[in-house]
Amino acid sequence: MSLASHARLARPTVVALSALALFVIAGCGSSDNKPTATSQTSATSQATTGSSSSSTAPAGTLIEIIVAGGQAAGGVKHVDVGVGKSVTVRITSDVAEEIHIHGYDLKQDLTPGVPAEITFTADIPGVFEIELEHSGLKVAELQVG
Amino acid sequence: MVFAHGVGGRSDLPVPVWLFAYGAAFALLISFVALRILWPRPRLSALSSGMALPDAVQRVRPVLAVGLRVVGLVFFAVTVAAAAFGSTDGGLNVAPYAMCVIFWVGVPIASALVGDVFAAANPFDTIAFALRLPDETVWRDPGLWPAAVMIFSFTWLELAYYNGCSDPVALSWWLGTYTVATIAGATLWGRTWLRTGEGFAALFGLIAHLAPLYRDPETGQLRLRMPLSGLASVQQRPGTLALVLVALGSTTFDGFSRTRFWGDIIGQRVGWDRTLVSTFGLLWLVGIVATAWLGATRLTARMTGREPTDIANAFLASLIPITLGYAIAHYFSLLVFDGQNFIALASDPFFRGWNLFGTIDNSVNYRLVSTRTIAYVQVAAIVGGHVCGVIAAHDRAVELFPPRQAVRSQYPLLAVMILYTVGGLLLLLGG
Repeated sequence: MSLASHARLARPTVVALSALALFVIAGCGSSDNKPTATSQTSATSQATTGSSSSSTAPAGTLIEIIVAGGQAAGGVKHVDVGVGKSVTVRITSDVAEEIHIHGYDLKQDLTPGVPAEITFTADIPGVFEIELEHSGLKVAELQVG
Repeated sequence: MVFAHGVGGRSDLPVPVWLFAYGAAFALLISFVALRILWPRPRLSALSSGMALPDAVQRVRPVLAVGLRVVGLVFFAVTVAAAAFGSTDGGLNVAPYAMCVIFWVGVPIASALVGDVFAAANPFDTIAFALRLPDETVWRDPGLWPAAVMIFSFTWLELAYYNGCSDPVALSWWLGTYTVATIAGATLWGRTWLRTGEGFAALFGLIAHLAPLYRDPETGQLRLRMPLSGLASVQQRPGTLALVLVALGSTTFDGFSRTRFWGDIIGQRVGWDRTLVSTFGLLWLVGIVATAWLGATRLTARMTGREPTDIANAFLASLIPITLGYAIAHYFSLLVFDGQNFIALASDPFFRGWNLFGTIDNSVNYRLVSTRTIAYVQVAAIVGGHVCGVIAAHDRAVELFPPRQAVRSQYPLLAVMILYTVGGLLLLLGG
């Protein structure tokens, strides 16, 4: 076999390997965002725990979501919490919607401009989407465990 | 009452990094140890005919066959009717759970453990029988290219379409179209095509080659054989490789779509915009998986002076356990958890307030298996698929090539299988 055929056979392998390498590198690269996202949420949770005195909700992680123009401000948040911890999702939408926390199957109607809160104990381990039901917009991802 | 929004509300936690490392290291090690310790002459083929089960079992077989046909037809009819006439809320309709959990995940696992259960229960063939369609027609068998397209249409619905499997209305359209296409295909090419060339029959039939139990196509006898040995009898038809690569690539996309990398690409797209980007992603991943295989087998072909296409097809049996391993890794927890929703909703498939089996109030028990157990199953499935793939490749290599060539020829194949395995394990890390 000639050199030409050698070059021909090498190409698909190289393409495949570089494509795989690309997504592996990109995958690892983007996981660097993880601690930032988590620390952001814990920072906000401390802030709100201090300020809310009348709330009956126990101290826990607060996920604050603001939706405007069909987008969640700051992108899709990824939040890590331990099993059994209390989680509060506070969401404000500029249009009438319904929030849905998958797996836990918690739902609440949203009135435009009015913050809604759902507090629950994160007792099912796994990864769950938090989504707006009508538009199908994913606004956050909750990782329990 | 089930309040689930639909199939797949929960996804798995990332596997621990140490478990990933052990899995990957073991896969690497076993690949090269295999070359030293595995047999120098082909063995699977000799084991693949096995032995006939006792006459007592053979006598029960016709009864069992009719029973399974009835089960298959009822399952199919109820799923289609529920999708079309049941609740439009995916969480209250049994059809998505029947189709995307029990059928799509449960049947391949059963096929590998027990045997070709879809062939035994095939509702399409029962319909074709009722329609008195002929076994053969004047039209030439199209191979498995239609099957590859058919399976792609399903994985597209499940993974790329924005509502996924959870939308009973979309599912009913898909089921209707698929059934019409299947019966049209059977009219054109005959019932033999239906039994071997329709998407699910072809894919699950390939996976059933792993099973210890099979039905001799000539005598109809039930026979027992060494698990895995059936891989030696996989037929290479035009399109078989495409079908397997579509299945493997689709499952890879399912894992890939859960990474943060993909999350950034898909961003906050919704609806058809999201579907379009996901469709490209699905095609892209099938493309990567296929390119890696074609590249590696081309290298083997070059080392042994054979035709690249022949080699790509000759070793495709290795991809079957790898495909099943991927499917188990990604869908085991879905079967365990969402399978419980199937049991609950089966009591009221048409949303009439029935409680046929007294299970309608069951809620999902998420403590049935621990997250640790799920992680072990995931890594074991991928590594196990790899080991079986390596064994199948080795057996084929010593069959096709003289001893010295046989060992060398396996290096590119081992490389591509390691790529799939380490890539598959990396996807379990979540990223």
